[in-house]
Amino acid sequence: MPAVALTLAFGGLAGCGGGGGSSSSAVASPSAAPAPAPAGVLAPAPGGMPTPLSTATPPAATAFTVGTECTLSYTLTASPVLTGADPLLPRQWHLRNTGQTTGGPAGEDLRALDAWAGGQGTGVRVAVIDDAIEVLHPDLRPNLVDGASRSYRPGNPYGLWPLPCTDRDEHGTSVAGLVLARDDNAIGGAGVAPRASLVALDALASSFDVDVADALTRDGDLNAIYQNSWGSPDNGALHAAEPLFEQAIERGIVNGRGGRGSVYVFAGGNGGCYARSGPSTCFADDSNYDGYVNHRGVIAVCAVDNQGRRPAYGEPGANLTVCAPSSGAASGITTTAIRGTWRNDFSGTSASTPMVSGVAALMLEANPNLTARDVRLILAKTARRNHPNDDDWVAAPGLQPFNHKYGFGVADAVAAVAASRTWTSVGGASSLISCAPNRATPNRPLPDRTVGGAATTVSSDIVVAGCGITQIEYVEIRLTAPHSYAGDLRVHLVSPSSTTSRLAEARACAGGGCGSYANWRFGSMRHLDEPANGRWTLQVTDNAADDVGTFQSWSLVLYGR
Amino acid sequence: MAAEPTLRRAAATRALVLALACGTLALVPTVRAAEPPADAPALSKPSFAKRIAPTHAWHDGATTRALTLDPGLRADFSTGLAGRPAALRASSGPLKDVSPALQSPVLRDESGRARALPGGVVVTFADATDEALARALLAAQGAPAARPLSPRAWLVESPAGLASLELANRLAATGAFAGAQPNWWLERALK
Repeated sequence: MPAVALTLAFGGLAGCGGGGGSSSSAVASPSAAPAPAPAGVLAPAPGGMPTPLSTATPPAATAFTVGTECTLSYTLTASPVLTGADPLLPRQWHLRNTGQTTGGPAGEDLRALDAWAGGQGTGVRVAVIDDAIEVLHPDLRPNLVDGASRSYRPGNPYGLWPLPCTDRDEHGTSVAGLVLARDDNAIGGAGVAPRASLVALDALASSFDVDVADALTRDGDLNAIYQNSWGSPDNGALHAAEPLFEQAIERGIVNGRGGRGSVYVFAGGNGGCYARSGPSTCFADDSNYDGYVNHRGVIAVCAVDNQGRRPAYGEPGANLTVCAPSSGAASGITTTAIRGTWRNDFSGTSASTPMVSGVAALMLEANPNLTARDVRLILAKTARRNHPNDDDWVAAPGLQPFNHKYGFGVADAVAAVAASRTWTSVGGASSLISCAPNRATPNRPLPDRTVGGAATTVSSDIVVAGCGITQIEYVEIRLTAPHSYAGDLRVHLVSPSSTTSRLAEARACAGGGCGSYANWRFGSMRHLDEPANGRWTLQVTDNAADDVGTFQSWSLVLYGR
Repeated sequence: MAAEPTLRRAAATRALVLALACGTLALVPTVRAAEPPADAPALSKPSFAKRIAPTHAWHDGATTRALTLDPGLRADFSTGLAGRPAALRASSGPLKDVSPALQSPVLRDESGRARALPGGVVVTFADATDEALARALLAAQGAPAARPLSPRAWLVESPAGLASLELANRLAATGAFAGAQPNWWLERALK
């Protein structure tokens, strides 16, 4: 019996505008559109998900009732899932770069297609948390887990379906396609893990704290990966995560997947040049200023362009784990778009992050027993060192180089899947060693840098002794430094192995304030595999004129094995 | 190698204009911009005098965080408005076309990020707490329990607007809980 998917047709689009500046642009119509089959329409069930879609007998009902503010409407059509080459696959250079883009050398990619021989993500559930997800898109619907998605949009006219309401809700559909758009169905392109299972959660449609926290822990035993291409504004300011977020991540990494830990993948950020003075000089946001992505339970993802270089928007950060391809000087990313279409202009760390989620899905199919810690470690250790002549690739003796722009490099699907098969697990959260608290209270004023003068660095040491960690997995630093303009401060951490985590640089903030160093958390992957014991030094420098403060206290928590 | 720039104040204007050696800073959109526009506006660091004093505070666990009321904006939580349940609308007072239950003042935190209060307070217990005990502890503080959020956290009913902030701060001050903070609507960026 041929496979059948219920896909969508549009009707009643009166009132649809052109969308925002980032609206999708269709790059192709399905070249082999599914043949119209018995038309079915879907009715939302009161107070719950619509009746699970049956591939045999589409439910007969009326189309969604569309609210006055929602301009998109949906009608389900049962259609066979065809078999055939995906016409847009050759454009998806991030999966296999054959040199098809301007200036992009062959091989500057994820090596995803080469990894598919070992699996395509079958059986791995990926929860995409975003603004809306067109789960009825013909390239997504075949992978949708019936009844598992959820909408948080108040008054959603589509019931609990997290469908786009207007053309503005275009983001999540493109994100989801990069993870798991169906392969070999004669339409569109493919995701990195094209047989992984889709769970769609539109918590960003409300953006209420309780909804975001709920999405991050929903069905934690079933959802393996939580894909998040969102975060704090990228404007140089310190944005702490809300307490509910912290609790949700802690719960997920401890209890998720039966104790193996939920895998949280987050965008590193697009503020690489949020303020500039000329063509080549920028103030860069740092991924570590975003409290969502400097948590030890989160895999922070950066972006590289089709030449393997940091694009202008790419944020540096000691908390970054790996990068993945995205837009840059010459080319965007081809993926699914709303209204059942596709686009070739997706960009930012919104695009690179779901690629890493896809690689993680391939890894978990290869070895479902991997813990969340394992996944992060394998991604780091198998990453491909891109832009090799960049001068920030530095390592402690005998250890893997790290780069603040690139983490450990670009995710390599082939190497990650291969390593997953033979990996000896380091264990889950329960076996993670933490050495804490290590505290210091220098309580010293930070001398203001004068115009044209030299800056003065105030250093404080913490000597860690008796810690059982021989291989660090993550370092968490907490800084309290009251200052009338937090953006003035440069903060560096030097390890006993003499490697440096650059945690903050002096900058102007664009959001109306810079936040505050009130027990502010920084995270660092920079010291992976270094030993914990020894002298750690935090160097704080007021590197801008005017505004003063005090280096009051700091603490260090080391995580590892 | 060029010397590091000094961030400095332009004394004549009392605005702290940040400049690099080669020119004036400019703001650029950060979302999905592979190449920022060259005609971006200038970025200034606010002078001391222009920095607005906090008007409110909330308790993030043991940390008290300052908030400043944005006098020109209101959050509109009307269903589905422009595809988002929270739209920030220019207004110096309550929105006349929106129910009070569906609107909130807008507050700015120390990073300038917009926050609003759609209703509800999140109360966190020090340890996992069963439902009966949680309800009793909340009731003892005059906090109507809505639903559990996790083994340690409960949502408490409260109306949209500053009443939620006031209730959260009152509950935090009792010392009976590990934390109490509003269920914020928060400006989050799609990357």
